[in-house]
Amino acid sequence: MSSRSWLKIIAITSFLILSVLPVAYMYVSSFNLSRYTWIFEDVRQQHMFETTMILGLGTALLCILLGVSIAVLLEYTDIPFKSCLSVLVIVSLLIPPYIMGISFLSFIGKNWVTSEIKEPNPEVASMVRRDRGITNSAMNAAALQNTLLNKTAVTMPPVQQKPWYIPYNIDPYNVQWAIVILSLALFPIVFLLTSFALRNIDERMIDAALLLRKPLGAIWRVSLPMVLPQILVGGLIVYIFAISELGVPSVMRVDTTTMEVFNHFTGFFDISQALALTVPLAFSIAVLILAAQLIIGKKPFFTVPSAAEGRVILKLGKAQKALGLGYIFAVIAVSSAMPLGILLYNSGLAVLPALEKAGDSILNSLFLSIFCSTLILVPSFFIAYFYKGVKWMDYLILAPLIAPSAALGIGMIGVWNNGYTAFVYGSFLVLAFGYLARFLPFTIKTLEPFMAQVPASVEESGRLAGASFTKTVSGILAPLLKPGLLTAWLIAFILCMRELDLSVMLTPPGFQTLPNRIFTLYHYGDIRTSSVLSLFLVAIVVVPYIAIVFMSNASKWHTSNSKK
Amino acid sequence: MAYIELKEVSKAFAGKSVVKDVSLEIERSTVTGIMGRSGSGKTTLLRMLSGLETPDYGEITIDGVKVFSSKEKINVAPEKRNVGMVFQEYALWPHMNAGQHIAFVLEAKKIPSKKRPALIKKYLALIRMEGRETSYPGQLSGGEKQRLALARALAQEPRILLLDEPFSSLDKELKEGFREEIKRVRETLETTILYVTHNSEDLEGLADNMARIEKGKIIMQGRL
Ligand SMILES: Nc1ncnc2c1ncn2[C@@H]1O[C@H](COP(=O)(O)OP(=O)(O)O)[C@@H](O)[C@H]1O
Ligand SMILES: [Mg+2]
Repeated sequence: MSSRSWLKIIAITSFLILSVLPVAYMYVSSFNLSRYTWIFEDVRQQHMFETTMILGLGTALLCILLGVSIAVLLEYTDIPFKSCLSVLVIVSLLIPPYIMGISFLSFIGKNWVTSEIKEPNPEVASMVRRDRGITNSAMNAAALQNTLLNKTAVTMPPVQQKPWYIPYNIDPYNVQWAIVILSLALFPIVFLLTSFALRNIDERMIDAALLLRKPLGAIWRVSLPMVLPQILVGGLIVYIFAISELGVPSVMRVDTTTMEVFNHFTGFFDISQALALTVPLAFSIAVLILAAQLIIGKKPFFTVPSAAEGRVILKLGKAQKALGLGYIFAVIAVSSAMPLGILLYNSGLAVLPALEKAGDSILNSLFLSIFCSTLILVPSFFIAYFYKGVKWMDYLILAPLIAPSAALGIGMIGVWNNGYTAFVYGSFLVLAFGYLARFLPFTIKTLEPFMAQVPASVEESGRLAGASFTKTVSGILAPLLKPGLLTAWLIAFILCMRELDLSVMLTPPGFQTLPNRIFTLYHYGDIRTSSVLSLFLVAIVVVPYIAIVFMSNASKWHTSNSKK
Repeated sequence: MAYIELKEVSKAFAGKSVVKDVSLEIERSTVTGIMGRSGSGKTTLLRMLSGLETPDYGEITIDGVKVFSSKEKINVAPEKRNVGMVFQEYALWPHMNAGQHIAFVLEAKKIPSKKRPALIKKYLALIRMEGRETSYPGQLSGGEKQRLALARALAQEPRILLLDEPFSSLDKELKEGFREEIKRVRETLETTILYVTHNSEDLEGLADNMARIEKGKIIMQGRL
């Protein structure tokens, strides 16, 4: 067999084993039909499902609005402080969304009550505890949610009065405000995908439009439709995150199906009911993918990336610059500065003691995230490559996302703590596999639109020139896809660094990740250290991001000069 | 007064002078070929005429109206100059099919949507691509891509048509065909045409006037 076919088989098998198997294992082993019919008869469930859909769609739309508009401002205009702003804009992605929710509530002078997530019932717990350690993990996960919510409540001073800067009484406890808060936390995903895609457009295509239309018209009609696939992928990822979010809905007192899933999991240890509840959510994801495919249509998006030179396409007047800056600053202020301020306030700047207590977890997370985000590129690249345009694959890729992370975690234990595979469960590999399982769909989806832009001829010419398949991949495809690979790496790195749900469930002995340590410290009331560590987390992700932004600027300069 | 006038136009990129004091006069409805080696500043010259690049110094007048003047701080936006351009690698829009390319231009020109289908047919017929409305750039051959790029420029009914190295990537037969295409455009539409090339053969039998550019300077110009 050729190396090509081997790679194809390895890519798909690794995906199936890593991502699909644990999830499938969970659903199959806990299947119970009556649990499914019950959902459709219960009015409360239907109401919660509706709320979840509104939350997901609203957040996706608002994130697209915020992410795309800021990407256009930073990529195409002469707005000042560009590179600085493009770093600040992504910070909010690294702050846990519930901190954002809490800081918002205290900003507008609202108290927030403790969550209604159920504490595990100790009797049931001890009964099922013998069951493969699953219960322990579930207890951890439940404790996680309760702690996050309760402890933060303790640290925030109760506010009774309406602050002077709030003109009228705001009622924040509804799905609309939950959408706003979640969007502020998640819009950088759309921003990242859009701005990297815009950078990748051949600038002469915009020139051709500029001969006919004002810059704004050219951007609206030519640039944005060209990056529509990336925008939609961003919206889809946001949607998935929004409907799996627990923290924000509970501080904003919005009942969602996801919270119900969690309650069934950890309150009643009713795994099969919990999984049945996730099926309608999974269905909604499939419907959205279908819709995105209809919108994008069958257009062959063939363009060889030839990087634009970061040229200013849209010159802004003084007032417009001020307006644009004001807009971005306002978004940064509420999405990053406010919650960061609260972390800073709580940290008491106790940096050294925090490092002493938890320096190892920083190294663990760094190692694990770099390891995973680099490794994940290999299967992502080959799956995006071999299954370009294969319809059923579009759905299979997203299959692992249907299960909430708690379910995936339990599935992971089932698969990787089983006779010969037990060595995985006992080491950091179980976390690495968990991250790969969870984030492979995102990196594959991120690479797909970039892959679609490489015309077949580019690769064919390499093969005709006598290059082997591996040579063609390493010499032609991979360099052409550099922007896509960098984007995917960065997104994977960020997702790994901030991952908490799986870490809590799968932590192997002696290997705690940074978010997990932050949570544990919270749990034992060490708010100060955990705030310092949260700030570290932000700093750690911002550094490679800056490096990548600079690297892609440098490579742009390189291609533009060598072209001529 | 000539139809197009460039007066001492200069442009530098990052301190490196690319076009130096170029002055040119071009009469209405003529075909002018500008010849020069790769890197001599040809593309930059065309881009400055179309308004996509802003010169550092000099003056550009089209049909008696100043579109650029460094002294008087005039700089007419590209979309208001009504200059059509065929880019070197065509720069077709990958997400639009052939018909949509033309429709985009017609819409920008505020042609009512009822009249557009007939015009799309007309321009596709002009480049002998009838019935290819729904083909995307990724589905067209090299010669077809170039003709679509030409049709896109023509649909704009431009006062001036700029062609950046129109022959460089065509084989002999396609090249001959495209020369005929340009001649036809010139006769039927009376457009003023400027094209650049790095090959002196491309001037014969097509251009009325020629200029030679070397290291950003016009070193020779005249009638053919
Ligand atoms: N946007 C730009 N930034 C920097 N240098 C440029 C830019 N555009 C062109 N140049 C430089 O100007 C010179 C002339 O370029 P160009 O006008 O494209 O030449 P030609 O079309 O005759 O090959 C080249 O040396 C090129 O590197
Ligand atoms: Mg050129």
